[in-house]
Order: sequence, then structure tokens, then C-alpha cells
Amino acid sequence: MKKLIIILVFIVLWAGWLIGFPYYLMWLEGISLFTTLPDFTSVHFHFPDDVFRYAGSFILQFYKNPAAAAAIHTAFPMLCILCWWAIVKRLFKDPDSLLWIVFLPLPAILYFLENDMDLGKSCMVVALSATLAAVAAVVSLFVKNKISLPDFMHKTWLSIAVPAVCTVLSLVFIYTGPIITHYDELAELEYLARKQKWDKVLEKVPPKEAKANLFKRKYALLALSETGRLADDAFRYSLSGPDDFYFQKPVSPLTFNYNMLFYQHLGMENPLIMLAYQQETLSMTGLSFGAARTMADAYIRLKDYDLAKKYIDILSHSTCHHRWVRERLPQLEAIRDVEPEYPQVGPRFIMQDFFVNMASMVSRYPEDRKIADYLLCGVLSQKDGYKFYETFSIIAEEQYPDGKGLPRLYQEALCPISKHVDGLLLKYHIDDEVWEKFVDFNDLMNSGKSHIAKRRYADTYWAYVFF
Amino acid sequence: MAVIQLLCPAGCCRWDEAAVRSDESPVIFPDYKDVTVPYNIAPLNFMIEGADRLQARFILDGKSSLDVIGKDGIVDIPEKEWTGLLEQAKGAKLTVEVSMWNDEHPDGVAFKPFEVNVSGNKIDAWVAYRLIEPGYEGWRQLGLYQRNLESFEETAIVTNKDATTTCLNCHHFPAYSSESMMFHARGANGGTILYHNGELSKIDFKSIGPKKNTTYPAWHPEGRFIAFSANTTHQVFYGEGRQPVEVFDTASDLLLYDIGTGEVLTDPRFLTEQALETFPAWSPDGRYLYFSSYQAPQLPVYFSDSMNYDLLRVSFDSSSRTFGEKIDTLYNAEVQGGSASHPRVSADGRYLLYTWSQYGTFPVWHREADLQMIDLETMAPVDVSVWNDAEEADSYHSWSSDGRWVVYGSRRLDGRFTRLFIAHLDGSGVPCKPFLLPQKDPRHNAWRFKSFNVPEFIDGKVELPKEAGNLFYSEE
Repeated sequence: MKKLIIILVFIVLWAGWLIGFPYYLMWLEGISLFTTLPDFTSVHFHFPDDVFRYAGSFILQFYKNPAAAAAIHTAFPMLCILCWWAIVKRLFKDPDSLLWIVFLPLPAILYFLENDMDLGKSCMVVALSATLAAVAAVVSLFVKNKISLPDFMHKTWLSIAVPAVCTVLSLVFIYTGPIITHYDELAELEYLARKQKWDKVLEKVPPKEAKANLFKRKYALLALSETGRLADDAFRYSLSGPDDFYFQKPVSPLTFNYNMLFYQHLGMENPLIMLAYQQETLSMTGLSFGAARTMADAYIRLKDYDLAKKYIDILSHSTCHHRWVRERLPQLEAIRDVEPEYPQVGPRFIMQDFFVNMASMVSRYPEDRKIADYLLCGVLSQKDGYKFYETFSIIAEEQYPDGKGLPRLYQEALCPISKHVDGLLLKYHIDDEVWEKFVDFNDLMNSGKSHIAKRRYADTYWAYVFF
Repeated sequence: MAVIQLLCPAGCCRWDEAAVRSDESPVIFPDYKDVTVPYNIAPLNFMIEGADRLQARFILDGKSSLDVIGKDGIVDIPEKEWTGLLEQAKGAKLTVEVSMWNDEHPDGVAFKPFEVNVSGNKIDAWVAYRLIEPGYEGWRQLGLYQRNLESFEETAIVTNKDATTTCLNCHHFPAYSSESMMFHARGANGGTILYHNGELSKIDFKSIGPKKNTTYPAWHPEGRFIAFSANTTHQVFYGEGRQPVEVFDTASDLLLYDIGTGEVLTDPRFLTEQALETFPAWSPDGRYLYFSSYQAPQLPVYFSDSMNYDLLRVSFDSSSRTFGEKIDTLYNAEVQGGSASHPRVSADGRYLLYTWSQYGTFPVWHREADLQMIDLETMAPVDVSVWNDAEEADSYHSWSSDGRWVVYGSRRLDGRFTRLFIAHLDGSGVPCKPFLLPQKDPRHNAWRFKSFNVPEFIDGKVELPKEAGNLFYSEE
């Protein structure tokens, strides 16, 4: 019975973590690091509790697999429970009917460990519990009279009801914890983006969600860009300015990771590597699995053998990267004797604001549709039609030389400008459907029916400008 | 008599003779072939990639003096025997015979021997440096460390683990003394930490004198003054290309701190907006202050790759605490091209070593950056190209207390992480091939998470009181 209760509680909590927060748990591995190299070991063991962080770092390696991660995450409180159970057995009379007592602190423990991202506190709590159990064992050798509790505390129903209530309460704490929920949602988007499951990203972030959540909006816009729909649906997903594309000033691992994906998506290795180094500095050891993997792959792409090897070597000194390393060794071998290839077209340019960066890239890679769309959609978000036309007419020379096949938002932006620019409609083709909508939008606006225009053309550039 | 170091498990520790003799030198890492080392240097452990078994025989005066059987492709030389060998080899050459066994050479191959020159010049036993990620704007865990060059001992002098995310930089010592030290702690509770005459103190330069934030220090050899540059530093990032970042100043002046009186002394010539003075360095006799300076009628508002720095010097009278009227130009960037940084004068006052780069004031990010040297007696350049790497940056350097050794940072191993190299300048002023700072496991140099930064020779181990961390501790 006792074993069954403990096993049941374990399974329920394990399932709770696995179903509720698998991406958060996997994400924890990415911001952690464990290697057997001296530089890693030397930064630990400075403060007394560093030993727990060291142990936590070791354990976090196994969080790559969500089922294992959930099991380990559940094991921490369950190990505490087993330790407390050992104490009860040593110190109390008739302990078999007192199992329920050890479940009482369970919700508090889970609450305490909620934001324990390096598992330092978790390891400490287990170590503390084990120490207490050991002390109880020693004490019990000298104390003959065990503690007797009142009869009502030995009721059988307590052994079932208390663990059940405490487990439910624990799940409530976990599931209502705003931080973990927030992290899990974004970690899932990060995971999907890394796997390039862009349709899934858009499923997770419908337009309504993109409107409400600035972080998720960035992922939606990234997915639109990857699927070639940015210039059609950007305003549907609430684009309101260039800051929606990326973080101007990333501060947390989540934001750094997002920006890394953004620059990787654009093929801009320099800012990607810069962000990876910056992301590293957020971790206690100055490096993380996620950053090390990003850099190893980036340096392989750049054919920079020495630096790629460095990070692959570092990761080979962890416990759970053998397969990952094995997969990259042929790629590493292939660049052993070649010169690094850091792309550079034309004179170097200094990273500044969004428009300068994108314009610099467009001028270097005029054939790149993704970069062109970012720049043009960024300009559209500024509600300056003439600026858009000025930029568009340059980009269109490469992207739309025959003036046909323009994305919807560009057509919509060109409609009002066509009234003021001679020959625009001869140069660029506007679909009849778009033109008819534009005429209808104008009519509605001019007849005082702007509320209908807003509703009917909610996702259009015109609505974005006017409302 | 040869000493065979038993490093391998039973069955593989027998000295063996390779079946094949090769005319090629071994490709060892680090490259210790034909380098010149001080006789008190730590063992030059090395490795050959892909070797299953290695043997190294160190021969002095034609006699085998030390045999080492390596393990896992690494020759790990026993410290005690190595120390004894180098003591005997002072001023002579060691010949090193290396044999290797692997799948390609199952019966072993003996490579062409190479030589290691053992100088009779002793090197200062300790070098202090900062270890920091080669990142950009941020940091988390960094510290000032010291390494015993006679062994592999590395210890922290002070780290920011005592103070969360405080940045520590620009450490300096007066005349190589490990008894005194200064460094800057940046952050909410930051300041300049001074450890002098057994006392710790924190100076807030933003509240005294011209109220400028101090940056690069130069401690006067007499110990009483510290010259500082006060730099307004920025960085920009390149969107493409091999050089990722540019660091530059938009303002920099020179200040002189009198430790005795607590005053910050200024000279109006070094406080103008028309000139950026930086990297102060004293001559060993303390009579001259050397520095880099960029002068322009109108300073660029932001970064410009036409900011080329001259090398200047001005005399200094410590009794009157004043600088002389005349300012000598030792390197004229406009005439000679490029930009000169980090002037450092050898302990005998004979040579001025500096870093040359195409432009700017932060050469470590410039792949073309090289060390260059001027003979101050003849004012003629001295060719130190053997110290430089053709591809990657060679930058911050400092002289040993006898003026015979230079320790400097180089990115030649991978282009990103700075490692320390040590080079000898012989009595005739001829530079010798440098060597990488020895490590117990040679791969440690490649695997380090952090870059070496600002190496400075010191005469002993710094014992900074633990309370130093309290001076800049901050929860922020």
C-alpha cells in the first residue's frame, strides 16, 4: 500500500511535468553546462552551496529528453519524501500508518523549487533531507522510546487522502506558476523554430495571440518570413514596428535565443556569434550547452576549423553529447584544411538600427527575398507610403523586374501612391481584387463608414495606416 | 642517467625503439621546436595529434638526460626531473628526440630531433592576467588570476564571484612588486581598488580632481604615483567579415594620481578635446611617461578608421610632480602609417615595444596587429617579426624585470581566444622564437573557456586580502 501510494504520486507528478512543461524542462538543458574540463570545475566550489550547483549541472545534461527530465524533476521531491519517511520510521511508533505525514510539505517544496533553473536548490533540499534522515538514524540508536502520536493520526483514510490532496495541491502550484508557464510556451516556440516547424509555430501563435503577446508575435513574424508570407500577412499578426521582428536589447536567455534564431534565419553569422557569446555570459560558467552548440555549428558553416573544434571538443567532455559530436566529426574533418569563409560582400558595415542593418544587407544581397521583405515590411510599419515606394522601387529591380507577383501588402501600399506617381501602375501590376478592395475601402472611408472599413479590411495595410 | 617516467599502465611503459626513422620534424603542439626558454620554466609538455604512444628523449651535451614515455599522445614531463635538467642546461641547447606509435606507424616512427634553447636568463616566476570570455558587452564570471611560470599553479587573485556581476579590469603593479596592486571594479559599488603597503582602499575617481573615470593605469616605479588614461570607450559590431567588433574612444585624457596625498594632478596639455591620450607607461627610471595619442583638429563624432595614434613621451619630475615642456614623438602615425598602442619600455630602458595596427586603439580585435619595437638608444626599429603571427593579432605585452623576456597575448591558435606567449630577447637585442605558455595538459590552452588578458610579470604570488571583495561587493 505504502509503495503503491509513493509510486502513484511519482507517476502523477511525472505526468504533470511531462504533459505540462516538456519544453521548459528541455530548455533548461540548453542554458546549463557540464564538462569535465578544468575551467568548468574551477568556477565551482567557491561558495559552500556551489557543490549543489555542480551536481545540478551534471543532472541537467539528462534534461534533453523530456520524459527523463520530468522523471528527474519529480525525483527531487520524491527523494525528499523517502528521506522523511525514513525519519518517521526511525522516530515514531507505528510508523506504517503515518506515511501521510511526509507528504504534507510536498506542495511547499515544489513551490520552493519552482524557479530552480540550475537545480542547485533541488540538490540542496535532497542533500539536507538525506542528512536529516542520517541524523535520525543515529539518534534512533540511542533513543529507545519512539515518539507516539494520537490515535486519530493513525487513521487509514489519512494515508490516502493526504497524499492525494498534497499531490493535487502540488500540481496546482506547478500549473499556476506564471514563470514556468511563460517559459514553457516560449521554449516550445523556440524548439519548434529550431526544428523549423514553422506551420506549427503559426498554429501556436494565431493572430489573436500575436496581438496580445509581443514575444510570441516575434516568433509568428519569423515563421511568416520563413514560409514566405511576411509580405502578405504581417499586419494580420499585428506588426507595428521593426521592434516586433527582434529584440533591440536582449537581456535574458530567451531573448538572446530568439535573436540568434532571427539572425541565423537571415544568414547573418556575425551577429549570431556575437549573441551566442553574450548568451554565454548569462550562465554561471560563462558557457552553456545551447551557446556552445550554436557556435560549433556556426563555425562549421564558416569553415573555421579551430573554433568549431574547440566547441566540439568542449561538448565531447560532457556526458550526453557523444552522438551530437559524432554527427559533426565528418563535417569538422571536411573543413580541416580549408580557409575560413566569413562572408563579406563589399565594405564592412557596422550594425546599427534595424533599417540600417537590413538596408546594408539588401544592398549586398539584393536577390535575398527574406531580407528584402524584412526591410520593406519594416518600412511599411512606419506608415510612410512614399518612403516605402522609394525603397520598393530599388528592391523591385532585382526582386520583381517584370513588376508582377507582388505580395499583397506591397500591392496595397502601392494603390494609394499610384494616384501621385505617374506610370506606377504600368510598372507594377496590382491584382484586380486588391484594386477593387482599395476602391471599396476608400468609398467606405469617404462615406463615414470607417467602422465597416476597419472590420472588412482589418488585415490590410490601409487599415494599419488609418486605424 | 636517464630517468624513465612511468606514466603508463603495465605493459606500455617500456622504452621502445621505433622501427622507422623519419627526416621530418614532429608536428607537436604547442610548437616548442627551436624556441628559447628560461631555465626556470615549467615543463614543456606537448602532444602529437593522433598519436597512441609517444616517447621523448631530452639530450644534453650528447647524453640522454631525461626519457619520458607519453600517454594518450601527450608527453607529460615530470616537474622535478625537468627542473634539474634545465638547471644543468642553462645557456645550452636541449635536443629532443620524439618517437610516435599509432595505426599508421604500428612499429613506431622516430622523427628528426629538434632543439630547445635554454637561456641563462631567469624569468620572473609569476605572471598576472585577467581571464574573460572573448565576448562583447557583457560578462558574468571573470577574475584576475596569477600563474607560477615555474610550475602549473594557477590561482585567483580576485574574482567577481565575490561581487556578482562586477567587472574587474586594468590590474597593475609597481615595479613588478606582488606586494602592491591596483585594479578597477566596475559596477554599482565599483571604484579603483588599491592594495598598497598592506592596506586596502577604494578610490572613486569620479568624485575627485577632474572627476573622470580612470581606465588604463601605469604605476610609477617609485610607487607614489599612478598615471591613468581616462577613456570614453565605445564598441561597434560589424555585420559581416572576420573582424567582429571595433572598440574605440571618443575621448581620453591623462591624469596623475598621487597616492601619498590622494590628489589627482592634471596637465592642461593632456586634457584637451583635440587629442586622445591613452595607454600611459613609465620608463623604468620613472623619468619619462610614454603614451599613445591621436590628434585631430576635429575629432570624429563616432568611429572612424582614420584614427591613427602616435607614440609620444614626456619627461616627469617626481619631486615637483610636473611633466616637462617638451613632448617627443617616437612614432609618427601620419608619416609612418598605421596606429601605435600599448607602449612599454624594457627594464633596462633600451627598448620600446608597442602594438602596431592599421588604425584605432584596440588592436586585439585587429588581425593585422603585430608587436613592433624601437631601440631607444638609436631610435631605430628592431625587427621582432619572429614574435608575430602572420595571420592573427599579437597584442598586449609586458617586459620581465630583467628586460630579457616579453609575455604577450596572441590569437594565433584560433583567431578568437587570446593566449599567452613568452619570447626572449637576447643580450644582443636579437628576438628569439616565442613559445606558448606551458600547461600540464597542452590541450588546456585550446579548451579554455576564457581569453587571457593584460599579462603582467610580477615577482611573487599576490596575496590580496579577502576583504578586497567587500570593497566592491554589490547585489546588483
